[in-house]
Amino acid sequence: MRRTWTFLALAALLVGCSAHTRYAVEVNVASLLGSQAEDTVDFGAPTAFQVYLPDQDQDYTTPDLQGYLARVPGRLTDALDAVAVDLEAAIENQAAGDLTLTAALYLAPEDESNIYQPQYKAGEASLEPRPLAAGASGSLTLKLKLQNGDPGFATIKNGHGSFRVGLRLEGSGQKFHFRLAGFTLRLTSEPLGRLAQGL
Amino acid sequence: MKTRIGALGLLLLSLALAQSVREVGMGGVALPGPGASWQNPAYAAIEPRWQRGTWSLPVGLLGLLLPDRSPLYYLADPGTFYSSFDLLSFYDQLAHPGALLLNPARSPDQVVLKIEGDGDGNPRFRLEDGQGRPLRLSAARDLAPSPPPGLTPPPLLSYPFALGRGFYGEVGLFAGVEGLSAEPDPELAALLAGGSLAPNRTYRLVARGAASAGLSLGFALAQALPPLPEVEGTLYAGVRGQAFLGLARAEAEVTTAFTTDAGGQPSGSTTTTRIFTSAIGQGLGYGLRLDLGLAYANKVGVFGVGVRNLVSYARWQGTEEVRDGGGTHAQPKTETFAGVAPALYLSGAGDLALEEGGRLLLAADLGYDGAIAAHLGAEYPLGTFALRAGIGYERGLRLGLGLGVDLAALRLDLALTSHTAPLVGGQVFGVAAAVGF
Repeated sequence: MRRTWTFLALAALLVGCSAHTRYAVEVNVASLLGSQAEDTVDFGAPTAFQVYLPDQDQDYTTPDLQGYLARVPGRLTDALDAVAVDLEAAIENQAAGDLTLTAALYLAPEDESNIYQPQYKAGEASLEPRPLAAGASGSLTLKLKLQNGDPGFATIKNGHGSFRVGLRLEGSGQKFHFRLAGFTLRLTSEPLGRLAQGL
Repeated sequence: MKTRIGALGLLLLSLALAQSVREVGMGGVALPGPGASWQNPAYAAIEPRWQRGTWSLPVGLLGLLLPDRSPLYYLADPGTFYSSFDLLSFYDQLAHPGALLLNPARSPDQVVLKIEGDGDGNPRFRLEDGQGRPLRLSAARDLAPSPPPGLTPPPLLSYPFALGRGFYGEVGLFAGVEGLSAEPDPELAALLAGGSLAPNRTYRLVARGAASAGLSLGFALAQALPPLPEVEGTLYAGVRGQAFLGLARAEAEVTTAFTTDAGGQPSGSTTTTRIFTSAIGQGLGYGLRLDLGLAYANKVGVFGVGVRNLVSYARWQGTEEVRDGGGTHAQPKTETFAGVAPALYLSGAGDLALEEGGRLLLAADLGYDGAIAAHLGAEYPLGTFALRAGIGYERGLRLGLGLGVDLAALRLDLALTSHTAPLVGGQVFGVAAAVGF
């Protein structure tokens, strides 16, 4: 697969071979998750919970700790300038009691078997309103701009095009429906500009 | 290495075809007459009706001093180079040395590769600019069209001479690009336009370029034919044998490909580079071709049809170097073409008398030498001025507006021209100037 990205990166470079041209890879994670981007989580009784997304079998009692393996053109991430994360989720509380929920984004290396460790946490956001009343709908918005020195940035830059990404939903409640309305990672680089600056 | 550097210089120096500013202002149309005998040998025998006697100023060279298209800033001011230089602008200006481009083609500020799911979680790809408009690699497939084999580029410099009794000769120096393209195959184009990886499929991107330079020597016989009964005007016929001695030739072809396995996953990729070089002293190029032409002239105008390269023989001896996964292999190679590969050229122009007085010069041409080109232009004299306008098609729309000034001691031609920006589309405007004394 890495060869594919290298090839596509070369194709992209052909189009705009100038120092001012910025290159971006925009990964629509929500669409790549397919059916896992929307589901109903029912614990049967009010409880404190942790849900890990994606979860291949969508059985949230047996969490998948490896996240989603993303692959992008490695030649562009080698010259990575910034990573923008834009996540929007719609949550509906389908239980009789309140729902509180916090979402944390994790970025980890390709060979990591548990990406939900503190050192891989890139950012988090809370469900609004907080708490979400029974039967009500709320939204969760997470916008991050990662640059050199920020958590997660080096993971992507040093991953040569491969990294893992995942969400951990943590809170208390009984039953809720979630839908990832948008979840994109935008990796921008300026490879020829850096080349021009460096020479 | 010297051969390759020379070949690159050849490529850069030979991207343009000279044209008078008067013709540029008329949309790029070529006016019939001895000045167009390269396209139609019969024109050598026709009295020049529309000879202007001005010399084009190389104002395009001024453009090559500007920060957005001058690579010299890399040495003089790297900061300016970094913030301003655009390779596409540089190419566009280089390809139009007769005009100072006001808004040369510019690479997009952003190139975005979008990766999204197809509904089942399989990735699809799209290549866009920063505004969400699709970028089409296929737009690079005809940066410069490949001419028919055996046909050398038009002369940059030439010295025509008459030998009497309808015989003409011409010694020239030619240099030109013979094709420049980068083209994805249909599978790759579809993939980058939002497609998904298919099983057992090969995706290719092929970039090609060729250029040559040499000396040409032509001998032509162009004469008026005996008058035809009840036909006003004169019919002319011309035949020319054109030989060339090659000074240098370079061809390059880079093919990048990857294949997928039965599961639709990439299983391997290859890049193959083929470079053919021939330079005098390290190879030899020569050839001969036959051109024919017919022209008709009467009081109103001149019309003609020319066929270049009706039959030709061309031979280039040099070295071919192939680089692939197995290493680099160089070996002598001879490229030979013998056969029929004509380039066609129809043109006509006439002075039309207007009812309110005055005259209007109308001209049109249609040609094919690897790609179709057509132009239509007009000139209206107004005292000491001449107003010009025209439209043309050369792998994209071309427009022209022109002004001629005839003073006692000075003739001046100005033109505003436009062409379609390579790769990114849109219209590029430029100004051209010529003077005569």
